[in-house]
Amino acid sequence: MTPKPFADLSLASPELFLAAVAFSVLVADLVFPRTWRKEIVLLAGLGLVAALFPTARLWGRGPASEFSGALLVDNLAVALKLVFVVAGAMTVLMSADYLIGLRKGFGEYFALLCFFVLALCFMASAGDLIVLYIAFELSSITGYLLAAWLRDDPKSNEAGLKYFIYGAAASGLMLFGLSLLYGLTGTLEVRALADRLTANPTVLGGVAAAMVLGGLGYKLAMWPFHWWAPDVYEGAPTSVTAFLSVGPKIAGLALLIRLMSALQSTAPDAWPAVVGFLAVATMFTGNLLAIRQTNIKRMLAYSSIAHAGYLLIGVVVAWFSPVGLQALVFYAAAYLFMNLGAFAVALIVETASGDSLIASFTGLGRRAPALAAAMTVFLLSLTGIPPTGGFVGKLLLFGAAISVPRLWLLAVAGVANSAISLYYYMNIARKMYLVEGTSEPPVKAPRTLVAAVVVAAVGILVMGIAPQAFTAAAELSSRALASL
Amino acid sequence: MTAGIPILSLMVFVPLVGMAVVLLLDRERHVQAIRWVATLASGASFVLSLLALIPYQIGAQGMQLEERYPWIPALNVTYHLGVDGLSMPLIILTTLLTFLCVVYSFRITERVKEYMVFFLLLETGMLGVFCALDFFLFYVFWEVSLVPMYFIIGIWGGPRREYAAIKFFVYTLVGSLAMLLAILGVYFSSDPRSFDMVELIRQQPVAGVTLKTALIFWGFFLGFAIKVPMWPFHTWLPDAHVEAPTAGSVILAGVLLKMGTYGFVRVSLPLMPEASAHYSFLIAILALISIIYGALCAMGQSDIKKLIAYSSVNHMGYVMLGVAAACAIMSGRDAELRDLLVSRATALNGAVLQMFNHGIITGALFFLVGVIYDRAHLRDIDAFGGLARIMPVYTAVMITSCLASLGLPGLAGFVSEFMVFLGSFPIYKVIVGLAIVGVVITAAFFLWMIQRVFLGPTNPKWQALQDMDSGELFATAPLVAIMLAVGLYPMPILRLINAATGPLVEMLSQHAHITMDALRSLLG
Repeated sequence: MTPKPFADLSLASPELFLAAVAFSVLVADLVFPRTWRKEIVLLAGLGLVAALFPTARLWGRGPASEFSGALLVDNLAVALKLVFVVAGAMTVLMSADYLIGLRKGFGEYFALLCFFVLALCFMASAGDLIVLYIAFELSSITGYLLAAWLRDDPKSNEAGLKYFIYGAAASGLMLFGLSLLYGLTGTLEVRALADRLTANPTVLGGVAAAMVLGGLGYKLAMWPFHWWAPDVYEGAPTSVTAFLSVGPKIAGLALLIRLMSALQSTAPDAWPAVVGFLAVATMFTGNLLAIRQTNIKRMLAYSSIAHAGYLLIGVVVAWFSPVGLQALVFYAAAYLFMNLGAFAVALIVETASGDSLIASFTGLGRRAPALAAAMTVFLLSLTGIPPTGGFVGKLLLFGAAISVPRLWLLAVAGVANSAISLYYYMNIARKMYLVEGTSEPPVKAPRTLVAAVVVAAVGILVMGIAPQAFTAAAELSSRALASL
Repeated sequence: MTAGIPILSLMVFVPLVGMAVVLLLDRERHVQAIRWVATLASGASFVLSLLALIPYQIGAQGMQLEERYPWIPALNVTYHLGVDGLSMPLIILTTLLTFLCVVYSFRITERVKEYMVFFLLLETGMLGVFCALDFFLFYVFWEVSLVPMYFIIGIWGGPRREYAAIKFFVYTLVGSLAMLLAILGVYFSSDPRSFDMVELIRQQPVAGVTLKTALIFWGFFLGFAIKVPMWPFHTWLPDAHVEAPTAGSVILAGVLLKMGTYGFVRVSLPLMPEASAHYSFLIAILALISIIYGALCAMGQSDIKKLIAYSSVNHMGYVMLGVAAACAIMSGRDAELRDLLVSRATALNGAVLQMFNHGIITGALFFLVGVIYDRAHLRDIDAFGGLARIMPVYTAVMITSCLASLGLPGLAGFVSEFMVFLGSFPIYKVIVGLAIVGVVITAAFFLWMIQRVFLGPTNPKWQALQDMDSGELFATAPLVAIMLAVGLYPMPILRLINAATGPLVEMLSQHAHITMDALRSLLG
């Protein structure tokens, strides 16, 4: 292949734009006066929203690769990048008021958030093992820092430390696995790994694949690499938790999809079964352990673990049919709205009551009816009840599992787990509507948080009632499977 | 593809529009307005359902008043509504009962806005289930009707309302999720892929009795059987019915239970006729157990509401017996099998009529229980006595409704139960013989309850009880009138039903019977 004189930078335009936004927020934080907090939020927020445009412009351009295959651009990457940028923008909205009282590090928080989004976008497009690992590490490190951002809060410090130690071990493991893959195949290009591994199958290849899966499992909070999630989610600042529950999880899935054929070629018959088992274990772990939780952030942590399990069903099916990938992309977008929405409401309640206990939701149906209604919509969507996007997503996921006859057990497991999850999601609805509150504080919701709730609620309802655009986009993204 | 006014869509969504209007009103200052908006919305829906009878052709076969628009092309989902003789009586039942419930609920004073919002949302859900002809749409409406019911039971219910509400929700959701898997199974078996019910019935993608069809059949069965409810999936019903507020119980027993039986006749029978025939004996056994067990449990109750709840299990057993008989496998000579066609049709017509009748009768019964509970604040049978002297009008209405429920000739219940027995007897002799015992037990417990509550020495504690007021009379009088009308002249409604069940029974008997010759050749 004759090397081109100039790289086609337009393929990297989302990343370049995001990098510019991130650096400008960083510089603005240094240059602006201390009191110009709102301006920094605006810069970060509008910058992220503006980043949607160069990303959307790449739709349909692919599949293409740049920088000698280091950057892959296809519809799948574009779709997921849109999810990450929206997640970032909504997190900015949610953080604005929540962290307004931070003594130190207000501006840096938003800069780090932008870098986090940048890292996730690189993960979605990674075509080269080194780019993959660098993006992985960048997202991890920004995650560790953001989790520990509340310096005076011991729980936040604990969260950051636990995340860091666990993450360092996991990424070390993954790096070892990636290096073994390089050693076995002699190439760093993700797309070339599969063929070379199939040509020379070895036990070491299986071991390497297992190690890589371990690292990815940590990112995803998949069983048995989920132990960090409840403590980190509970301790981190709630806006950070919200982003952690969506961004890295979906990025981890993106990596898993990119490496899918490579991993599978090390043991073609075993891997679907193994990942299927892991999916079921993850679902049950998340749903069963969520039942006893009294802290909303911890409950949502276990719920996120369970949702990683549902998304993994999509991955397993994707091994056999693109329907799995279509379901996965759709569910990722629905998950973005419903989870961020739930966290936004949790933030508002936390600001009103001072704690993040589920008991603080008592009587919300009377105190803040619109907010309680929105939360009910999010909870129903998380369970998978129409007319929400969560239902259509679960329909697609379970349908994908049924469409591949040998995977029907995954659908049964998914359905059983949805039924189990109803109990703890409805527990919150019960507190909001059924339980009579006695002396709950009034709820004053800042406008930015209300805006986040509205965006999430509208998004999830549109995805449930008029999902045509989303299903079509998901279907187009799933064609990327052919080139993987 | 609609000619003229989309009357079905209007009827289904008017309550939702009413709900939106109620949401805009203030919960404290506009309480009266909220009540009247809700009455208007449910009343408009009722009127529209009656107006739909004008363009509707009663004897015509196939779906009518159809509306079909593309919705989610990527999934082959369309917005498809339509009615036939099976759904039309149930739709009128739904609109009537909801309208009466809303009027009856004027006496609710706590959180009126949320109450009406949930009721109107519930009405849209129920009507949508009966009109939907696309599986995706059907499932959406099915689930939509679950959510408001949870809140209605949980907020305005009795002392154990939270337990009853979550039990109802989780139990029914498990069934719905099993049904979702079955729907997906049917979708992926079809070619070209479609969620459209009419199209799928034509395609018959899951015909025969394969492992896949069996799994799909049982998936649908679980979803519907929990709703009906059939023994042994009935355990959510006593709690939910007893703890729900009066109007909630009326809708639960009057309409929501019918969604299960409707599902059997609309989905299971036409889509999987061989599987239905294969398992019809098992369904008949379960129906028999529901009949006997439900009646016996009712006999043992001391709470009037729980007694009526168990009588619902019993009555829905008759419906399922008729459904099982309609699709049963029978062997015999061609001539005999042709005669059985009439029996099957009678059984299925009886079953569908029983769905309608049970809604009317048990709806009335739950309204009437509410009357006594509102005044005395207890429902214990043994605590009352001689109420006939204190509340004569109430006694008359209550006794009429109880007699209708136990199947007294001249009232609606007799017609449907008789038809079910008449039709099912040639097909399931022993089972029907045993099921008649259920009628005897039902008569026993109702008469015994009447004797203990209304007759006998008057308990002086209740001397001051007021008789039925205009709101309560308004709610129950139309129902009693219908009981009499259908009991004395059921022809019009039977003609309506038969247009839909006739072709279905013909199709079922084709799939379900084997001639003696074929049987002999099979056995060598």
